[in-house]
Amino acid sequence: MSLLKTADYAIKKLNSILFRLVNLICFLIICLSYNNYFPAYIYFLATIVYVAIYLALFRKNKIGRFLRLINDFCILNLILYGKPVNELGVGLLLFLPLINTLNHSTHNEAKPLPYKVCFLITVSFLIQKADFRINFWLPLVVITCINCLIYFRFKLMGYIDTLYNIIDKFYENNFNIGKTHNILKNFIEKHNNISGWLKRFLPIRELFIFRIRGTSNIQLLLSSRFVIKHDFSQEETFVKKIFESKSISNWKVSLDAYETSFNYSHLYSYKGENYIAFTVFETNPFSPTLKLYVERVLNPIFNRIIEIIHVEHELNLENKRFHKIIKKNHDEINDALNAIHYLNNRLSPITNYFEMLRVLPTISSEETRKSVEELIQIEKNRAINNITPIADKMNQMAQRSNFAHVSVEPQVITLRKVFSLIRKSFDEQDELACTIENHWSDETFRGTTQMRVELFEFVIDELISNLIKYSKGKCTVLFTFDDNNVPLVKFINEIKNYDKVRANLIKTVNDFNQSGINEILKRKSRGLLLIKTNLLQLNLVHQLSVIDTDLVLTLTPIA
Amino acid sequence: MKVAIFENEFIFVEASFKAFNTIYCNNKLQYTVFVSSQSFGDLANLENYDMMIVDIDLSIMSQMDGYQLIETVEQSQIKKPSIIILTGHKAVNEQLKSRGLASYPIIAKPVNLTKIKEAFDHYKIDLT
Repeated sequence: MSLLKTADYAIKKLNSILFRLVNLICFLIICLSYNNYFPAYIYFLATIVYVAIYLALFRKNKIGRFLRLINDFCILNLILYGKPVNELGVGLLLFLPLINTLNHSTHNEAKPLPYKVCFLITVSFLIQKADFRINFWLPLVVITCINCLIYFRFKLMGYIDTLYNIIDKFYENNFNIGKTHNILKNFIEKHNNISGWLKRFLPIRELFIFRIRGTSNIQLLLSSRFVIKHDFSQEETFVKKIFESKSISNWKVSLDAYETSFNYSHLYSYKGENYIAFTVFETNPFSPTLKLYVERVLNPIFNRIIEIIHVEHELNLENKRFHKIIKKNHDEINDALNAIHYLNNRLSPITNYFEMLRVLPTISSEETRKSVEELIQIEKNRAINNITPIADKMNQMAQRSNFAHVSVEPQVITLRKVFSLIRKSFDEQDELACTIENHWSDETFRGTTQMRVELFEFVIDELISNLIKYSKGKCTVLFTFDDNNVPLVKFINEIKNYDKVRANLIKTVNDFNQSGINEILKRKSRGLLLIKTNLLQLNLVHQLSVIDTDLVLTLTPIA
Repeated sequence: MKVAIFENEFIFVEASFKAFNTIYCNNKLQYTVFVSSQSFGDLANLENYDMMIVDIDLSIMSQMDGYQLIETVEQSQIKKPSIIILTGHKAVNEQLKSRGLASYPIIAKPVNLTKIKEAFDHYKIDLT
């Protein structure tokens, strides 16, 4: 149940109690003001019975609601019996239940015309033998009219609330990405479930959202029903007109085999993109209602749907960017495989040449030996011819590996962003207890640097994996400065089994601190190699050191 | 013994096969080289061969790669020749398994005459 409906239900319950209290007060005043037909104790007992029945039926729905109403009329008739109901002050008491009809405290919706209450009022008038005067019936009509208007207002609010809930549910249920069309589908379903009058005024059949590309092309983005082909007659004129007037009614549009005659198009502009919300009706809707409905009800909803579409669009662009990176990596792997294939083929004459030389002394037949010697000579020439292309290919591959990650474009980011990236990476893991200590000032945070963000995140993640591998379980990330006030980030890791790994650690530090990757390449540790090569690519000044029993990596994020 | 070799860069392994033929087969090996699957023509004629040697990475000009070629032969009704795979990828048998195909002896590239002999030895054929 939505918040609006929950609140409405609670208020109705409270109103129901207040109404009975008002009833009791009115009964008391009337009993004290007029001569009573029954002895006082009858009224007293009746009141107790009335309250008891009300309390017993308080939580009951459906039949309980009707019995509470009967209960009200029973005591009303008892109190009023023998009293001058033709007097306005007394007779109006019979109309009290009518005022309460909108507060019927059940989950069922109240009716705009409470015929049961009207019937009971009429019966009460007959019991009380009251004259049918216009001054009694006028309030009955007026109150009913007011009730009707209040009912319609509630109904409309509930309707809007239901539609807004479609979007909230869409997020809640997590069936969002790529399924935004469900919002429109649910919209139609909810709209069609709404009873009577609203559906009759606005017989919505289908909803569509189009995007205008360029000056004339209309692209279908979402629809409440699957449509293969759409066709706006005189598309260019339509686009021109909708840019001028923002909305157009009853344009000739065909959606697959169905041609719509009753429709409404409304233009929405969001972050440089132009969208059309296109509503198809069963019959021609009553036009003043339509304008009001579109502007007040549909517009806010469509605005939210378009925001979702835009986010999806942005995500798609992001996906495409990653696909490009994946494709590039895939191409690189393919190139490497092709290179291996190439090298394997060209290495065959060389390996076979040496194999034939090895086998030659074991051949006993002179004739065979002679044939093989001839083959050795041929293979020798072929082997010599292949050495240069092999060397060239290997150099070419080595060259390519230097550019493996160059595709990630550098961007200018603040040191605040650097801080956030590092903190996020450490927050996302739970294997290492990490303390983040910050000595950077606001001014430092506002400083900027050029960074290939994805690559930097990759380095930090790889660094964390390495920290975990060798750590006692605790590390510190210190955002500090060097002696020249240049901002630094220090990753301080408490090394486990320090005494055992000390010698190896010092060798690692020396290898890592070399200007190139030659020394690191000789090691088995692939993680350190990845960190080192990417730090070089990022052009970040870096220094590994051992302080006491801690291993410290210092990065200077200003490249 | 008749052998069909499916290899699009035979020039690099030619001497290995010649040396193998000379030393171990008394030049009795009659091999024919096909640079693509379609250059063989009707694959049903493979039953006229005792053995087929297939380069898994046949040229992109070939309608079938080595896997497809083996699959076609395995699924056909013909008398199947013995199969040897020529490849630079050592995990080729895992690939065959994942495609529901049988395992075969491999001549791993770079090729030399001894590797060819080892692959033939798998079938225990009298080469002389």
